[in-house]
Amino acid sequence: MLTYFIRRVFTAILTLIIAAFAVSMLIYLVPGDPVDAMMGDSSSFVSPERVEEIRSQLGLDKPVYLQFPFFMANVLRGDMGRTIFGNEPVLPLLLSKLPNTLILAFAGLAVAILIGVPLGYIAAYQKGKFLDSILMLGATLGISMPVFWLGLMLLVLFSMMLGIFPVAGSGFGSLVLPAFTSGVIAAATIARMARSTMVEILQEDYIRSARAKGLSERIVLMRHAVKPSLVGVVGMIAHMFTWMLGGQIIIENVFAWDGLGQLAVSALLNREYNLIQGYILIYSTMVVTISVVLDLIYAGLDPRIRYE
Amino acid sequence: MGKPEKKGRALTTVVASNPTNIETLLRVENLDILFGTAKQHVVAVDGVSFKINTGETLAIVGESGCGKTVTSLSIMGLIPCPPGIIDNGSIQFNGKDLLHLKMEEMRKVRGNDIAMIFQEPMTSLNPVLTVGLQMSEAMMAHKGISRKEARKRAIEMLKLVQIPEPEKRMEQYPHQLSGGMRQRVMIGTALSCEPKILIADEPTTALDVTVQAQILDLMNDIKAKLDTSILFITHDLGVVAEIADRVLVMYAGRTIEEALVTELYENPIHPYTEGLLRAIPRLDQYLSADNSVKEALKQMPGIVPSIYKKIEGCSFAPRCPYARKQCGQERPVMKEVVPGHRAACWKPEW
Repeated sequence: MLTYFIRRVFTAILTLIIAAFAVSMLIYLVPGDPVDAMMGDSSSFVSPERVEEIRSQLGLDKPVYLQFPFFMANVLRGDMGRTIFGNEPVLPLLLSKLPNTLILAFAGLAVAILIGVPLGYIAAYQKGKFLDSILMLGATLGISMPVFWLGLMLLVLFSMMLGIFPVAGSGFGSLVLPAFTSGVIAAATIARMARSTMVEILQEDYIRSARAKGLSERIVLMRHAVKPSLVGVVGMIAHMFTWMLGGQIIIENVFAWDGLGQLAVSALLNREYNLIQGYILIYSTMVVTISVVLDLIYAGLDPRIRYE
Repeated sequence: MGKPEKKGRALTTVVASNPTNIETLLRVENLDILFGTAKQHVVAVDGVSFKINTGETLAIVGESGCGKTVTSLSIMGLIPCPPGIIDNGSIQFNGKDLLHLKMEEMRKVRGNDIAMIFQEPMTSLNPVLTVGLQMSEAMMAHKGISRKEARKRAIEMLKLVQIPEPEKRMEQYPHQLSGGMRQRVMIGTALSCEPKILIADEPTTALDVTVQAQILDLMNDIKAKLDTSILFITHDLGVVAEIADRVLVMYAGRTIEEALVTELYENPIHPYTEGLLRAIPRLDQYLSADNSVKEALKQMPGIVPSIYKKIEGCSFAPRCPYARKQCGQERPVMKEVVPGHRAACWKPEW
């Protein structure tokens, strides 16, 4: 188990290094001279000294093969450079927005789990019946709905027409709609996954064995069916969580939620390459961390993985 | 698989010689089971009747799809409905008709009075729960004992089914056990509440031959110890000889012959049974001393009738070498031909 964990962490670190390499090379994707591109129309106002300063800050004054070591050394020191406009250090700026994004993602995840998992299980238990059809129709709708559209519709209904929740802001009231938007859409995917996993499990021989023992239906379902289904369902939940962390870009902009996603969009629009690099790196770190944690949860849920 | 001494049989002989001890535990009468809808369905079990006495092993023999598993599942109330419909009949146990019990009452019978083990020990245990929990839970559900007490009993059961290091096995998961061991765990679990009847649905089919023999020995052993009646479902006549007291032969959803095991093997009445017994390969019959083939393996001509077709007369008539016009038109019912030996065939009357 310990070797499994160590191996997993090792591969995670390797993944992150590869991600960092890709991020450090991003700057070369910019057509023409990166610094000129960053300055855009305002390049004529910037002094040549300032241009040189930015160039050396980005490591562009060094040869290509030193680009990555330079970038990596800086990142490890916690230095992801400074923003072009405002000259703010990138890492503290990103970290200051991180909590808001996490709050929204966790809230969305909570909604997704609370709605998606039980409804998926209920649909599986009622397979082929009316309730199942209705639930799966709802799930298909949920999957097909674009995030921004659902967000806007909820805003129109609950904020503008009914005035229950604020249109924007950062309090609990303004958390409800964005969390609900991402949660409902993730719930649809989770429900379908939970249903198909559970349908399969309910046909397993060991469910028949459990019934043959005369166990109550509650124990048959909660102990014998839910537990084996968790590997699949938790996997899908984790997948939706990474989707939410990334998908936040849209939701945060629709609901003016002051998080990483909004920062990333404005960074893109303002060609803040340092900031974009930092954002991608933080996002990759979160995704890789989730996958490590997920593997540990798997090991806890399924003894066959644990003893491998 | 020829074992000189048959413990199970010896026990019943004792019971049989003392008639006051014979008591019918379970009586199945005129059971009809359909699959599908009331309008469009197939008949899986067609007018099946039999009984199981205390301390006796009844084997139901028949080929795949003849309705033997469906019959046993109906006793447990485990036929999925829909699509299963129990159309007619009764299953009497302990003065109760199991077919008319409420769900909660039926649950108390299952695993407690009547327990069941299945064909696939590989998939019949839950892969994510420990052996210990899976063995204890039936006792906790039916006997109202604590987890600790159930655990202690489970370890005893593991010893009874001859699993070495029972304490260690309790903490293990099914994938850490071999197929034979898993079937032992299933048997131990099934017997943990001291059921009056154990239904074993092809418990040895998925196991290799040496393990099969061990499991049969174990079942005979346990029966002698606990005096549990066994309903043994199989398609293997070799296994039947090993374990059964009485045999019920099924064909295409119907029972066609029933007798004590020696009687059936010596004097089969129904042509299907006769064909089955003749088809058992015997080395001395087919091979000469120099290993050349003397004659080909015997087989029955034809195939089992489709379950989608309604059969008017005897379901075996199309394949029967003795069939006459009557056989295709009138359905023979189970009748006692020789004392204690019943068959559904017109031939003895000709």
